[in-house]
Amino acid sequence: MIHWLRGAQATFVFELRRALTWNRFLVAVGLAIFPPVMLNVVVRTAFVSNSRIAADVSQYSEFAMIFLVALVCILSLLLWATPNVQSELEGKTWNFIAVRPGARVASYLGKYFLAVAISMSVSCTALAGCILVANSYQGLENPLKTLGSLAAIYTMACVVYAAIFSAIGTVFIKRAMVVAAGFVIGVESFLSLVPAVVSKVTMSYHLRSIGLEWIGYFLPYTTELEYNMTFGKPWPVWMHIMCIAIMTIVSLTVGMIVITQRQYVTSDQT
Amino acid sequence: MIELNGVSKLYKTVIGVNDISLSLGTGVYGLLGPNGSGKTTLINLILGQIKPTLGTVRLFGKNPWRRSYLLRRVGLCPALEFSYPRISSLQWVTYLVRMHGFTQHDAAKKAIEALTLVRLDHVMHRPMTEYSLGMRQRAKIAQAIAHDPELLILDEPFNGLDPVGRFEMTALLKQWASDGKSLILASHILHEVEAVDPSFLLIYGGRLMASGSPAEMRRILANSPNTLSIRTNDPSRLAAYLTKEAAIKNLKFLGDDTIEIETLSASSVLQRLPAAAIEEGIEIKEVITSDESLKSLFSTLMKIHRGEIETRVSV
Repeated sequence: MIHWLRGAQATFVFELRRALTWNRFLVAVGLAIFPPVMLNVVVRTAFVSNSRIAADVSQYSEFAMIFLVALVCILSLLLWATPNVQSELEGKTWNFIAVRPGARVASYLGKYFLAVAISMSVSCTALAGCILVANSYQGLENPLKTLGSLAAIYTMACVVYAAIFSAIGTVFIKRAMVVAAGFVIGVESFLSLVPAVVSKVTMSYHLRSIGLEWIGYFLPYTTELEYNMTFGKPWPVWMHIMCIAIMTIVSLTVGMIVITQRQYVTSDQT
Repeated sequence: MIELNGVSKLYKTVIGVNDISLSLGTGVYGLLGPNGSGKTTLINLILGQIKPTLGTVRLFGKNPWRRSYLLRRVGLCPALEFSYPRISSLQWVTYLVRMHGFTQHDAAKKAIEALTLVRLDHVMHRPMTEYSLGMRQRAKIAQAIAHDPELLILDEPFNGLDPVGRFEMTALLKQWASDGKSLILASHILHEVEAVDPSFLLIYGGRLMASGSPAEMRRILANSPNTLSIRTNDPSRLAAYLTKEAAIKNLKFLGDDTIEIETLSASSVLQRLPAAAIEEGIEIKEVITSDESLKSLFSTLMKIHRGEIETRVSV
């Protein structure tokens, strides 16, 4: 275990060093500024048209802080967590790593932690940007509380989705990103909105439930009453957090089992 | 050290290696075979990177599959070419050594030692993308030896090396062998492997065709169809003499002083050369076997395997 963590730390540092390129930095900056820029553009347009400004700003802010930041968070995780094995196989570096004791798991964990760290930074920066923009037009009631609550929710989202995407990356080598995107759309978007017990297996349900508990909303235009009518009486927050933790551990374990058991061979090896 | 018992590996319907049995103790081995013959598959099986479809593999007495701790004692230099933009060889080798459980400080120290040994210490802080093919090859060797393994496996280590680099690499490998450590050198070029004076393992079409000492391999080679270039002071007379006395399939004049002979048995030609020199007074300046010798050797071994040719050499 200590050996894995040491290897994971080495991978984290090495991959971070590799990631510090202008291209990747610009992608991260682009993702981080997209929600606040969009919010700014939309609110300015609303000001120009002069229609229901106060209500609009509030609704647009919620939309940007929840939907756009979540989108950015998921995109960042797709970029960083999913190609954990694929990038090594395509870069022909897999054999250099895999022939070290415990290095398959160490590399897997190191890349997972890096995906979490980068996606969390991008999401929280985007979130802070949105709150700044929203606050500059119409003072939010408690911007620091909103920032803290949403940042915690996005951190949990990064932790659990990075684990799920990393596990997908060990199973599906060539189309990992497509499969992960399909999972987000099919399971975490549509299935999580189904008013049935099945929605509770999705992480989106638990994250939204925590949002509802902490800040009173998580889906725009959904009141707590409407939400409860659809999904039943909410669980306490700690149960949602436990579900997220269990899913993270299960996904990481599945990924570790697959990566140690699977026979990965680069295309030009015979 | 390594034992394979009836090992076969199938990639769906393609055979990677086919019913290989061998037992290798500590020593220096040349794994020789043309491209696509199954050398890399065999190495991956030995290192537990892939699981045999049939048969058993033992590395240091244990099944290497799922026992990655055995890899502490092995260093691998794969044939694959890769590129890490902006990463120096020191950073790369240090990272890979750290994967063995060393601290950052110890890993960096070992990486510097290994890079110094392969003479990359003067450029070890430069990005590897600025390296020549030969320098990258040496960096690959450095990552394989940095953690001081007992067994070093090199897959096509001479790729991209210039003559000086080849000489230095050969010297390094000889030094490695003389330190009493084991070495498996996979290549498709005979003379590269020969320089380290190993025991040979000849693999072709996924099968282990033959194994033996360099002398045994030379004997097989001498009895194989081959192409010889002979430099002499009188090519016409030598050609006439050999046509009469030896089993020659084809003969070409190259320039003023060289003849190229295609023969079914190189030894039949080589045995006549002293006689040509003594009886006919022809001066033999140089005899070179062509690069195709290995292909010929494997072709002969295949025929021996099918029973088309009888041989006294144990195969």
